[in-house]
Amino acid sequence: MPPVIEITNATFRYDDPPVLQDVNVTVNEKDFVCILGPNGGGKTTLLHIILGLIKPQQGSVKLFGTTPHASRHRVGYMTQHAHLDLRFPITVLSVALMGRLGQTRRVGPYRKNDVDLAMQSLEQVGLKGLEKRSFAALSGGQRQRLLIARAIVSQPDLLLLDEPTSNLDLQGESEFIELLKNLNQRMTVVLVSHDVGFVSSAVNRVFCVNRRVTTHETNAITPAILQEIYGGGMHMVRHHHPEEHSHG
Amino acid sequence: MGDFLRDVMRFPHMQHALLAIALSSIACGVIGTYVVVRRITYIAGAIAHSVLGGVGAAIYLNQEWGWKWLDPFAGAIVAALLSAMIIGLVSLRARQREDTVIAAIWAVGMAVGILFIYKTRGYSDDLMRYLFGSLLMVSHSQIYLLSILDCIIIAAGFLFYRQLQAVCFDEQYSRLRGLHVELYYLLLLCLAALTVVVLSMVVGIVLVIALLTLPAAVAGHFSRQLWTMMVSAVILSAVLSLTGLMASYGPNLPTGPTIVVLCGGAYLLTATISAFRRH
Repeated sequence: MPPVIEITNATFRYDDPPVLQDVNVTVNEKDFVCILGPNGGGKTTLLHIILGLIKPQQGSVKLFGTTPHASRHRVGYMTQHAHLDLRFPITVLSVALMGRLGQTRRVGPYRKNDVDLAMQSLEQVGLKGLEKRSFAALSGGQRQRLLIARAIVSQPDLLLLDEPTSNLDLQGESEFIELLKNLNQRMTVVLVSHDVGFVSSAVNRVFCVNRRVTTHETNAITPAILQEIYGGGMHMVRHHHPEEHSHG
Repeated sequence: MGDFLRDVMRFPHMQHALLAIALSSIACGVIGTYVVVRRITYIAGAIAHSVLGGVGAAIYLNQEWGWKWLDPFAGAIVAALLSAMIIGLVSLRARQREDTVIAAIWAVGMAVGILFIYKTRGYSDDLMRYLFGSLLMVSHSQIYLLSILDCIIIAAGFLFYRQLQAVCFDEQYSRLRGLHVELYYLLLLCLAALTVVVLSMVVGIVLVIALLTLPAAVAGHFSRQLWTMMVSAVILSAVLSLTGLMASYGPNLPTGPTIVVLCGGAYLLTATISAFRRH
């Protein structure tokens, strides 16, 4: 079986210097990957390459052994909710139903099957009973869950999340990680974060993105990872770590 | 009020005016809602003003070249669709220049229209009619035209409701679900262009943006879904236009501006109420 994501020697530039250079990344089935990096380091660009929104000038990108475009129906995507208009008149159910677009009939209203699937995924994220609520009336955490529900309504094999934990409190964050852990039993999860605190026991690999991408097989933040994200000028407060970390 | 009702029974042009209000309100509520939630009021404004270019050219060709089959509103439709396509393609291909193009189409379209009308003998007085509306001069054939435009707008608005909703709410996500986002954006602009032509019969080219957006904006204050916002906007638009027509009839005020002032008042009122509610 081909890997879920396979990027080989990819370089992407809007201008000089390249935003991403010589990227080699492999994600396997049921991985839980956290993409970390400083702002402007190329995290979002990497995500957009995986989604097929942009193409690297050099190198190749494969999802499930084919192009990102051809595997769109197997990918669930959670938008950054900062991009959305909170006053848009739309109900919770209608937002979840958007995840069915492209997989249902082209014109006219949604089918009953679409509504059933949307209700199921709302239940999975704990929003059952709120389907008639307006999007504007949700709390930050509920909105996050709704966008997950929309991403998983078409039962994807790969779930991609863009900065999912921005404006969540600690309580909300730990609930959120539990939800992702559950989903990870059924699908591969890749999330982008600028927050090193997010890396937890759920994660099995960390990608550090700062023009180049390095892979770490770990579920903890190591000095080497911090070094890569924040550069060399940082002093670590060292606790008792028996082993030194090496690049994966 | 009594005079108004008696004249409605007696004069066909009054009945046409009422029909025009009913028909235009449907287009106004449905498309106005999309325009408000997608925040493209400025684009609608530019399309509206460029319509004068088409109207002027049609009148000129009709009178000076003897193209008697050419109705000014056919010219309006061509100009509106043309500027919608230009603005749409420019904003999709070269985002940073969008506002310049909008402003250019806005002003150049009007200028062209004024030049044509000025050079058409005996028509320079008609300019005001197109700029500020002439609800009481809507003809029989224009009512037919209105009905056809309404059918197109309703059919497209119904068949592509889900897609237009998704594209307006979250463009990037829609693209990832395999929707042709650009195509739906152009469709929306063309529907807005047709609606602008319809509404310009009621309030005139200059005042169209107010009638297009204010009833929808008022409806937006108390709607939780796109389609309920549309229904409310249709009703509001019909009520406000009818009230405007009746209020202007007795004291012999221009109808278009009266309707627009009422719309403004309704918007101010609901905006104030909802601001207080939030505190």
